[in-house]
Amino acid sequence: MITDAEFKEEISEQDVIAPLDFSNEPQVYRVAVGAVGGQGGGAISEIIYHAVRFERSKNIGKEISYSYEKRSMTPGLAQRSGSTLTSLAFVDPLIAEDKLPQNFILSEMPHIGSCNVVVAQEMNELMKYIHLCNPRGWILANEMRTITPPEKSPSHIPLTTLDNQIQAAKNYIEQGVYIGIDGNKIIKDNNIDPRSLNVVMLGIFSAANILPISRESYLKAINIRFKGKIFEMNKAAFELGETYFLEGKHKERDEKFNWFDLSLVEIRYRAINNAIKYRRKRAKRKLLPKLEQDMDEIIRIYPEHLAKIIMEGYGQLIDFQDRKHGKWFLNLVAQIFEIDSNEFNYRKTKEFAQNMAVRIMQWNGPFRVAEHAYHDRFEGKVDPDQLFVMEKKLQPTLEEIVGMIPVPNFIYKRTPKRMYNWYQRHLHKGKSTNIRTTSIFGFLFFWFLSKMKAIRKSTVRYRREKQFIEKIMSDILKIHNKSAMVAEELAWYIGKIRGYSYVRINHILAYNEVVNGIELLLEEGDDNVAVNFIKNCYNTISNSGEGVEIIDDLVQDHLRGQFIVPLTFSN
Amino acid sequence: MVTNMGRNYTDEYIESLLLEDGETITGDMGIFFLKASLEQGISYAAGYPGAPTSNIMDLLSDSQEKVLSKYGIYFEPSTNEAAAATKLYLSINDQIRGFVNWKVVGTNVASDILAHVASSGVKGGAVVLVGEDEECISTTVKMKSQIYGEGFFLPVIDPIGDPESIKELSSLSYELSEACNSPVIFLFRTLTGNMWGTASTKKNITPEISVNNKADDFTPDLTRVPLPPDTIKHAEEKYQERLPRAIEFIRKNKMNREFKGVQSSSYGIITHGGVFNQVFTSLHELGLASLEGNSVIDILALNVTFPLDPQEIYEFAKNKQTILVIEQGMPNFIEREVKSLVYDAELPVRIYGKSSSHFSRGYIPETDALTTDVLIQSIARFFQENIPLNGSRTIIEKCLEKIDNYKELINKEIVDHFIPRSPSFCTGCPERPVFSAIKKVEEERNERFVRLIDIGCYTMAKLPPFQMSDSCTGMGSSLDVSMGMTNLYNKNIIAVFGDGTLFHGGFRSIDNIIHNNIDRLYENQGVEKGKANVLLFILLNYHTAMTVIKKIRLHFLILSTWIRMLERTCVVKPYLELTLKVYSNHMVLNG
Repeated sequence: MITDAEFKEEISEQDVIAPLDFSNEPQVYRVAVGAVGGQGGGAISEIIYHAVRFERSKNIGKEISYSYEKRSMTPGLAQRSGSTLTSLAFVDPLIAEDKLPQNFILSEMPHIGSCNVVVAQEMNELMKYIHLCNPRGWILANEMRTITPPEKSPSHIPLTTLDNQIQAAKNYIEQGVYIGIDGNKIIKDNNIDPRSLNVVMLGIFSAANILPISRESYLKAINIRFKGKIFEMNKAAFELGETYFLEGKHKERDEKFNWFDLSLVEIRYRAINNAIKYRRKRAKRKLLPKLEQDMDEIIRIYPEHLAKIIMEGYGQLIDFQDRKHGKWFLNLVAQIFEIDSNEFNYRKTKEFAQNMAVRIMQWNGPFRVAEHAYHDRFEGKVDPDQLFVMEKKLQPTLEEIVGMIPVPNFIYKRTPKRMYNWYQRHLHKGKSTNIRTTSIFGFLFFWFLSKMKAIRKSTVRYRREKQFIEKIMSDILKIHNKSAMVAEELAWYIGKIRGYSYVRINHILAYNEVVNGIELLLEEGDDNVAVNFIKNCYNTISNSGEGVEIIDDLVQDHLRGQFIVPLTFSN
Repeated sequence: MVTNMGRNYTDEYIESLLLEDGETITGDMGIFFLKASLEQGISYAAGYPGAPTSNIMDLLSDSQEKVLSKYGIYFEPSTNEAAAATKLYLSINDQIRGFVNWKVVGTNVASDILAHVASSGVKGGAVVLVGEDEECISTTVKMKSQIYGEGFFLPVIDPIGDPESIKELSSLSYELSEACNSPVIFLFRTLTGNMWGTASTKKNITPEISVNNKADDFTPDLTRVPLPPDTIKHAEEKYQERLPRAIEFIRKNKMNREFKGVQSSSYGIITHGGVFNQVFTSLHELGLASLEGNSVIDILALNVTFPLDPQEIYEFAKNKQTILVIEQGMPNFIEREVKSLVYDAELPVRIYGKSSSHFSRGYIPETDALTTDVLIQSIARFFQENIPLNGSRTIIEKCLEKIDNYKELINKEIVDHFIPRSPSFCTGCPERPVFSAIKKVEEERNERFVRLIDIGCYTMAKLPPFQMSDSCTGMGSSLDVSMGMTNLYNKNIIAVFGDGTLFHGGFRSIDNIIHNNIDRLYENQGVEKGKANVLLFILLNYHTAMTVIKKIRLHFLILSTWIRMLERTCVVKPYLELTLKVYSNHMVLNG
């Protein structure tokens, strides 16, 4: 063996090497297909493999026995819903025979940034293999998620959402092309076999001209993989994919309504339309000029970003009840606006309007759950996630139901107490306290109540809600007198109060505790401490209203100056 | 998509195995290997399926009617690798060709038989097709089959991932086996085994001795029986006769490929088939090689990783200043061999290899899977530190910068939105409730059992959400482990078998327990009768998927007899209610 010094001396001039010239090298395409077991990712790459071969032999005029195309896969633990990757590499099938290279040496497995196309039949798989795609390439993704084992755990905290993943993919492929399809929707709308979704994606390949392969070659390749009746089914799926792309349906998801992007005029139109959509013709005629007048006034009084929120809320509240109800909301907002300064772009009014409009309508929720349940059962058109979340959170108690039955004015004041007693007796007897909105009986009951718009105002629940809102209003005004900044924060906190039945009760309890705490802290005189306290409370109280007992300790901590400044800030 | 229920290969693929001279075959490498074997006139094929070569057994089973029976080939889906390996005996006395197949860890099971067959030597070409999986994509243990190749003297072929050359090498492997009278190990890595491609075909040969045309004579050569003193002669023969013949065959048929550097022959890379494509693609990415096979420096791609041809290594290293040996995984057999050959020849060459090397800088990660992404970094560093570059340096730097940019983009956009998908039981899998039930019983009893889980789908019980596998000591060993545990630990134990595992190695375990407990029970030496603290679960589905056996009722007759002898074990069907019932009725656990 020689030493390092000797070694360096031996390097002569002629051994210096220069880069190679790649100008004559043929174009090589790489495709990676990520899927979960059972979705047919392997079939996609297999069909493209055959299609490339047909295209090449069509171009050259004869079949070539040398492999200018390679397909490989890493099935791994590819049990049903396990992760699989298949990949494909091939020399451009459209080049002439004499220009084909002698050898074709290429790794079977794609590496970082090497693929022209990444196909994913599931968003999590896309996230896993997206690094293989060149940022200037193509991504074709089926925008759906199957649950991963970590997500099945009861203590699971969602790490990311489907929308976040879609956005991340779009950010990655900014210089290239992203095509996202809603596979479940395609299956439902066209009533096709879910197993042929992979061939639908091939149809998109063909229509979008992602690869230099003709339509005939794709079809011929599909015929290799599938025979007879199954071929006919897949051919139909292939054509469906083509029309899907050519009609631009894959863009529908992108064009989905984004509320804040709408202009003032559009929101005005939308709010009016919301308000009168389900009225009779005569009522429409009567209401329309008044509404237009109201909207114009809102636009005149409020700055643009506030006007948008207020108009939307006003429109929805009229749809929910009537114009009087909407006017009440406008009055509330006007009171807050009067005391609001422009310091933070009218944040107090914005938060109040945004949360209060929802608050006033919120107790209509059980009806919506029932409606969704009904649709789900009989029509199957409801977004399953939405239904799940609502059903879990919105199981109304008996007390809640009774609160929705109208009561004459003269006994109203005594009703809550009596109702409470009755409710306790009911509990004591061991009878059920929850009503399933998803049962047929539950649904009919709610449906009936929801249609009784006229009597809604005389229900116990409506009155109590109104009382509570007025309390919030007076709280904000009271606190504003001491500190405008803290009142702003309290307006933001209202957004936390949500839910029905016991969830709502928990939140109301928590809210009262928070207001008491603020008053105590303000007596000490430090606004910033009170603001931090509200933020801490916002973070501490769970979405189902749990954690009331901690508020007292929080107040004490803040009084003593032992508190943590929360990392999340309200906007 | 469903094409043929219960079949993986369509008729077209099966019929392509019957192609004549000069036609073109398309398919996966399993089809290529079988086609090459048919062209070599094999008489038998046996194996135990396992990824990454599980498709071979499917292919054999699917082609039995149309192809195998036509040529009279005996096909055996064996119950374990050792049983499959015994078929190699057919090649010892007569010129009968054939192959056996299993995955890398299966070589451990078959190693006993392999050692004996290797000692005897073979007359007819015999190939052991092993599914190598050093990336551990579908294997429990990271290991190399080469260790057996070198230990028993079985030449090892690790083919370049090129369809044409895989087919050619498959054919040559039979001839090599006959040339050196030894079975040959042929490796299919995950990428190679599942690769698709095209190649030209030759005519199939009908074997002289086959199921259709059985031999009447059997004249065994008794000197081939591995028993001293013949065994000592066998060992001599291995290294004095068979090894030189193997090396000569490899040299004559140019089984290894050498790529001459277009710019310099002072530097070289020695690599092996399994990672050759990745090495070349890395060089291509760095601007140092073209797809056509032109590289700036010399490359030697070893298709045969054992034995190495000393002459070939000498010729390659002769005028070199620096050589990089790129080898997947540890132990680094090739690197050591090359170093020792060069040292023996007293050549003034610097050889770099694994980064763990004590005496020189290394560039290749020790045990990582050598993907293109890994190799780009290693090779770039090698070139930058050892080779004077003119203009290439900037290209290398640009390439590395580009990759860094990609990584940065991924870190920024993607990393937060990726949820890892660990393997888990299929939705609706009947094995799932068994583990739920065990957990439930544990909760009720407020006690943690020792759970000895074997190898099978249910090994996934180790992963979330169950996380309840305490052991994985090899196929069919869980019950054996439990017998050790029960005598040294005061714990209640649960052992689990699947039906495939039961046939593979489970009977041996049961046998062992009966054998040892008959004494214990009746002589009152150890655990009292009825109070043993081992509970055995056998997850039956009346269809062993892995072993392709469908009519297994007979096995269960034998099993039930054994079970009767094993009084304190019970057979459990994989359903929740039954499991719970069995628990409540047969609870023979201590405490």
